[in-house]
Amino acid sequence: MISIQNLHANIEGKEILRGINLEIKAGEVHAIMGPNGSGKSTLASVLAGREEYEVTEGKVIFNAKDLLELSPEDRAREGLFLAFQYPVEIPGVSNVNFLKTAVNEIRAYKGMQPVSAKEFLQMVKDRSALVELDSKLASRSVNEGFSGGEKKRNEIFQMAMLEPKFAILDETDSGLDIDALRIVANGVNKLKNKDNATLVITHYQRLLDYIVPDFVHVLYKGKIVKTGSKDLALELEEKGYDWIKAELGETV
Amino acid sequence: METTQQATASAFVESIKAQFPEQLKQSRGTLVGNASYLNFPTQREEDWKYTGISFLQKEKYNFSRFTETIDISAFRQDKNAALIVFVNGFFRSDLSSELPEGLQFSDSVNHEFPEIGERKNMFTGISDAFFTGGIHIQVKKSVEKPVEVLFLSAGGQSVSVVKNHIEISKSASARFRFLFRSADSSSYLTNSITTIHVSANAQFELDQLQFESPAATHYNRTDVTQHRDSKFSINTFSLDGKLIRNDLNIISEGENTETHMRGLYMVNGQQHVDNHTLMDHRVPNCYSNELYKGVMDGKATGVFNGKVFVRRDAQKINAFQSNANVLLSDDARINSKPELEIYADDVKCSHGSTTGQMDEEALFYLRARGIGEESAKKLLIRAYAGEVLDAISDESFRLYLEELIDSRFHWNNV
Ligand SMILES: Nc1ncnc2c1ncn2[C@@H]1O[C@H](COP(=O)(O)OP(=O)(O)OP(=O)(O)O)[C@@H](O)[C@H]1O
Ligand SMILES: [Mg+2]
Repeated sequence: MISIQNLHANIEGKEILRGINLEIKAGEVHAIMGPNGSGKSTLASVLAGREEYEVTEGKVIFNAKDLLELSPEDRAREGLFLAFQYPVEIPGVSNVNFLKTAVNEIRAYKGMQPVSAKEFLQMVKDRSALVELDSKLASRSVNEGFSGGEKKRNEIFQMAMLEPKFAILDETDSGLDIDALRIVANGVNKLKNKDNATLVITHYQRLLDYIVPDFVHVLYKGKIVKTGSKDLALELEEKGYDWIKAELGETV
Repeated sequence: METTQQATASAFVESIKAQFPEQLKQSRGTLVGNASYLNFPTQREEDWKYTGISFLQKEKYNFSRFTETIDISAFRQDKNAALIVFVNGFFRSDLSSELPEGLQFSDSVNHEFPEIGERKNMFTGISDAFFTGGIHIQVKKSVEKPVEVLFLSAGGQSVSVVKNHIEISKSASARFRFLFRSADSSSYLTNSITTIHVSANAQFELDQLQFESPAATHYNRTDVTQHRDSKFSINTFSLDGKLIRNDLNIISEGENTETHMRGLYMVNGQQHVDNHTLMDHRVPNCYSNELYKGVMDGKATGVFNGKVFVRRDAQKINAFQSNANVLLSDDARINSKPELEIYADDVKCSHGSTTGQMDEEALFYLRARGIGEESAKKLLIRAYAGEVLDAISDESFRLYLEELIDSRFHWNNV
């Protein structure tokens, strides 16, 4: 599905990603954990196409295409989705209107007819139910005045609407209460199938009880320094990151 | 220096004077002669500091009744609205429609107007002496449907000098729509002066669309007097023209008035738009709210100068003013100066001005959802403009403006 090879990226001359290698296949769930500032969101941003980051080395193949050559919108149209760690508020742009534009632009890219009004409404209804997003929120301005948890739900609602092949969830669990976490995680699981893949960025093992990963990676100082099964997350939860730093020969 | 300035000044006015229809000269009496003494505004004057119009001195305009057939349907918004048409400043009864009951209309060329005394300038002087028409209307009873007034320029190098007077009788209400449009992309000058009296307990909304040719110069002055318990709203949309200058002066003369002033200007290329507004609260217990928003692209430049004046005895005034600008390019510029002058002590007033770029975070968010860059920008601009567009009471006019805005920026095909 996606192959990240020796990816290096800078921001403002500072190297944040320092050689990331990661293979994710269809049907898989991968989790990335790692201390604050290690570069998790940077990786997500670079994959989604944020232009402030300068890729200095490496490549990313997504569906046999050179991902880094594509504009952010074409990446989305190819089936990449990023659930943002900090979703932005966009006053005056209604959630459903912009999603309709998005759905139709993605369809046009694939040579499909625009969605009918009726079909679209039904989609909104079904998919907002999936994450139990209040239908009133669906028609309000994008994230404007949403609570932290509502914003996260809205991200997954959008994911459900756009049906991506590859979704990156950047700390979607943070800010969610215990019930919301379960609801959102169940939503993500329902969207899962053998043809798509998910990359979950999180600090907490709890999310991984619901969205069970096939692989857990530890990102540290811009590199994946350890990869394991879901048990690695449990171990990190228990012991923190010091033992990993020690393994790397850093004094702690 | 001063003398050469004078000389060029009159040269411009003299050239207009020379073209002015002979048969109208009589009725203007001494005003025609006085016009020779009008000063050409220079950027040394505070009022024109950021708006240079010296290029006008090279222009030769003429008064021409355009006689070729024109299909005006393309320039109107609402085919069902009552319509009054002026072409190059001359009334065209053949193109105008029946007016609803309750309106008393005549061509203003048949009326005498007092000379504009306050804040006079070259353009008001030109209008005093050389106006060739305009609406002179009394709204005696409330009129439900909007009245459209189309000011069309055609043929090139025309000067349209119009003087409008609108009086809303006691307790009456009406909505007017001024459409300043062009039949071609020629250069010309529109000089439009409007005085409005909103009587006690009356309500009036004026929507102005300034969609002139990209080579046109547009001077617009609107003087409003509001009486007790009246409500007045003005929404000005400046979408095209080489240079647009709007002077809006509102006097609240009776208690308990409500005033809304809104403007949206969207310009690019080398265009320039200047909004000077003055809200003069002379009496207590009134409310005014002003919101002007600008979107500037290319090398466009803009000026917002808004003054709210609260006189000494005008207590319990609520006056709000805000100007916001988005610069879409590095070369676009805006000069924004909101001013409050308050001489009463028991008032609630605020003003503010912001200038920023397109929200890059929001743009990226939309693109990351599969929306193309141009169409994402369009969504954001529309949302930004929406705050002003929302104020239009008429949904169909709002949609019409949205379409114009899209076509204006060639965003149709996105
Ligand atoms: N726009 C920016 N300008 C300067 N530095 C940046 C910028 N964006 C990220 N960084 C730096 O890059 C590093 C990695 O940040 P990133 O957001 O990727 O970390 P993270 O692993 O997602 O952390 P967290 O767990 O706190 O979300 C940090 O040191 C951060 O300060
Ligand atoms: Mg992060």
